[in-house]
Amino acid sequence: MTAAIPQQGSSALGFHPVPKGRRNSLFNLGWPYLLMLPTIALLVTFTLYPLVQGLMMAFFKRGVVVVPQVPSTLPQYVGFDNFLGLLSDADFQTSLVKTVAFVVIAVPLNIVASLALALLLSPQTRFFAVVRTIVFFPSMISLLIIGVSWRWLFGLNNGLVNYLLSLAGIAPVPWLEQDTMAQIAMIIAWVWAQAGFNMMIFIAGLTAISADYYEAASIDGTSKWRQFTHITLPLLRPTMAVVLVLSSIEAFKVYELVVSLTGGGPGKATVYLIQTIYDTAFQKPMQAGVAAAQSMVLFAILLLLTIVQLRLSRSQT
Amino acid sequence: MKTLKTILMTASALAMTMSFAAASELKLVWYVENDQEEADTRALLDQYTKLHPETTFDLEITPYDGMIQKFQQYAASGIMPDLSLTSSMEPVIRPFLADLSKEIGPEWINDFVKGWADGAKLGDKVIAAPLRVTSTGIFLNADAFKKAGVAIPDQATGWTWEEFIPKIKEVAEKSGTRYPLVWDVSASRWIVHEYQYGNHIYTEKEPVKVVMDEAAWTSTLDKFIDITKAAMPPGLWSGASSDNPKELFTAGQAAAYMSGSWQIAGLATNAQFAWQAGPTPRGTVASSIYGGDYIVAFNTSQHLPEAVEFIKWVTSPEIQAQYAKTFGMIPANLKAPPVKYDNPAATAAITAMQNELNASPVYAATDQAWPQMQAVWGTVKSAVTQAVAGQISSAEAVAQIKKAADSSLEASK
Repeated sequence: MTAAIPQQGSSALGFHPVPKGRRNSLFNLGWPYLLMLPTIALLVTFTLYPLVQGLMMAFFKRGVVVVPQVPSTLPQYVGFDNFLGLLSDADFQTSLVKTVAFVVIAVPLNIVASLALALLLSPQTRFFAVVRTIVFFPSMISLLIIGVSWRWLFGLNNGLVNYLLSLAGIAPVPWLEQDTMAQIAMIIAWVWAQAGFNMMIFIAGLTAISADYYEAASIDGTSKWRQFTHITLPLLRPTMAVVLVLSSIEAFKVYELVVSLTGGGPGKATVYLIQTIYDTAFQKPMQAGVAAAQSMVLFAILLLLTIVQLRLSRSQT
Repeated sequence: MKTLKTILMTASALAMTMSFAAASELKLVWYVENDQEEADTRALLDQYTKLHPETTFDLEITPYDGMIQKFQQYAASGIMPDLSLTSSMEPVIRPFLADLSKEIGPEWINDFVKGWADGAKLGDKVIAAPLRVTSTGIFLNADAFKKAGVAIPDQATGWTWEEFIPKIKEVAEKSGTRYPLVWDVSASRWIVHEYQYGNHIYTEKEPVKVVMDEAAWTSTLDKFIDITKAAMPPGLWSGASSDNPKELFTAGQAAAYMSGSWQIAGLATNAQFAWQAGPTPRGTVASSIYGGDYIVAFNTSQHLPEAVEFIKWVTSPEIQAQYAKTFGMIPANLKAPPVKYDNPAATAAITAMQNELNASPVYAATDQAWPQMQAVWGTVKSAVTQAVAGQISSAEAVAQIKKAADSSLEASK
């Protein structure tokens, strides 16, 4: 795919040349912007305004809402105190470390699982199309419902997973009752939820690889494994980079699944960043400013990942 | 003729205007446990409308967990409903609550269960009407006790936790019941254990201060952790277990269940075994905790007189008795006639829990009634579950609770 070079007399947006006499009319000058207005309005209302509002909140000691009749809810300017406080906020730091650990473990596993599924299910037959749809299905379900379902599956006494293990003579596993097992359960459920979507991206990437390469390799007597390592993997690298970044962003934002699967427990074993931000804002009085500062840290991380993703997309182009 | 026509038209227009002016639709925010409760609530409102045809209701059912955020949104926008059910009067909505001592009279609040009525007062004002009262306590699988040959003492004799735990372990073992004890994973259900050893968070009277004796709290939390290990399903109180205490007890898989009076209606319908409420084990003292719900009217309402009239009706002794029977609750109004529930076990259970509530220390009512406590419950649960999971020590958990109590007090100043 190559970027089209705008021709002289046509706009970069692809509009037809405007007759000279009308070129300066206000209507024609404003027309592209008018078309963009709904998108800009949505972006400003739902992205830019909350972002600026969130940034401003981070410089105040305040609650979630300001009620003029309740003096204790009125914001007090505290400068960078909320940001500096994060340096000694044990809850925030612990959840940040746990979130990074979750990302570092869950994302590669997710890539391996989705790639394996993509390789397995990429043949374009009706049977594989049905299986692909089934595998993709979890991506369309709310993470809350996925969490509740896995909560039942992981039940200590009545869960299906432990029942199946018992058939193999394995003692019940405390999936949700023990720290490490709960973290493993979280990773399993998250990978299951995400794999279908990433599988589709990988299948798109695999489809784009010319069959000529494989044909030539087969004629040379190259094994399937070598074809995979020397043709598939190198040519899938840009796709993999996109999946890596998108999955990392999703993993940093993990929340609904935690709430419905473990509630952050046992104790605080699976409390990740978003839950910490939520708890700080809504469960502690006058801490919404601190929560906003925490959100800004998360925003910086996600921004960094987005920049990486954009760079990778451009290099792929 | 023309004059008569004009008079008739004017009169009918006036009548229509007056009827529109007199008719009032009250917006009512409510939360329910299940579909049946919603149907019962709608039936109650219909009953009122039949008596007062000029008053109708726009019922908005809201999840209980979202009530605080809902109130915050209302307060920030300044647009309130006419009436709402609530378990606490959040500081952000207090300026908007109608003073019922002015609207109904200063003595009216004395008709209600004292511990719960105290929570409705704000200085000289009465900002809420007690609607229903709940009590936390223990339910016993009487069939399992009988099968195991273990006698249940009467309420006057009772038992201590030290006596109770070996007994329920024996019951579970001899009766083949899976677990000796299940306990709702809830901050208010847990704190009863602290109350039973004389520990509480805030003073019983104003000015509100934190009065936590950290050593005593830690010792009691250690006792609780021992109970979780000795008698409860593994991991139940570490906060992530998929086990549901209510379902385990109702299915006959637990000999005892620490919960509250709101379970009585469900047990009466669903339990396939003989059960009873109490006696709840005691520590150094016997204690339950006051809980329940209030109904509040907002001073921003354009139909405040009608809203207050509804409050007077729904909290009147007769309707309280009817309400308590329908919903399986303890009436908040002390003048309510004795309630005979359809199920004798339910009648006995309500009486037992009511008695345990009446015998509780003052702090079992005041501690949770202070608005400062609302910001502490979250920390209580997370600290205790962390301590049970072994992630922090009991002393650290108690220190977290104290810090939250101090912060909440500071924030309220």
